[in-house]
Amino acid sequence: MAVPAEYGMSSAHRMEPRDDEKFYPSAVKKIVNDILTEKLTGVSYEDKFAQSLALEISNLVKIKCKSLKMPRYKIIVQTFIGENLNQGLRVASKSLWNPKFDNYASCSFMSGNLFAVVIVFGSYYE
Amino acid sequence: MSLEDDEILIDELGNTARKVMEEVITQDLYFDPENINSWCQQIMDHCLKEFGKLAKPFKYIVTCFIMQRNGAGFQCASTCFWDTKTDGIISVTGDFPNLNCLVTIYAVHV
Repeated sequence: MAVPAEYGMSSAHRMEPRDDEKFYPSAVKKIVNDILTEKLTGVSYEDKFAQSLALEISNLVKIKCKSLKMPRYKIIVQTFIGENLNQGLRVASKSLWNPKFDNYASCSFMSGNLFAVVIVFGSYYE
Repeated sequence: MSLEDDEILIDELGNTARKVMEEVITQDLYFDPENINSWCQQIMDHCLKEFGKLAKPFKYIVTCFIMQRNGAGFQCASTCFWDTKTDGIISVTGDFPNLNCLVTIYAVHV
């Protein structure tokens, strides 16, 4: 389900995004939350479907994020879906970027025998 | 930066991440809720320090996923909206007797 980017962004004269064109984690988190509850409520973990489910969720989140007003942002969505057998786990991330304009939003979901973690990174392209 | 530079870069990043992961997580480690955070931080800090030394015009995002091995399954998927010619992703998995470890690196051209 990959759509190659045939267009690229060329450098702009703007050095920073306008206030209403920034990556706002709260808005993104709300989107991710809605998608996770819609897609995963009542679903139980099955190996056969987990991979396509993870890809589907990633794609949906990316498409919805593109509809937010963030024209010069590169968006990365990472989804983890796993079986809940009371194991311990940790998801962490660290970045080397410009903290003034780049940001991330993360959301987790747990129900029954399934857990999901989605992280969305937004990186400003000058 | 040309495409060739980016290709070499991605493999280098992957090898660095694997080296760092195998240094921090030794074969005999069990999942330990007290130390798990510091293991994650160590892996990510070392990785980013090495990447910074490369002095290339890239921003790096490293995610680290460590899970106790008890038979549970998991899947990871990524989708990216970026310039496929200049940006890249590599993920490195480590199979240890008691832990599953996955380190993913995104390199985004500035």
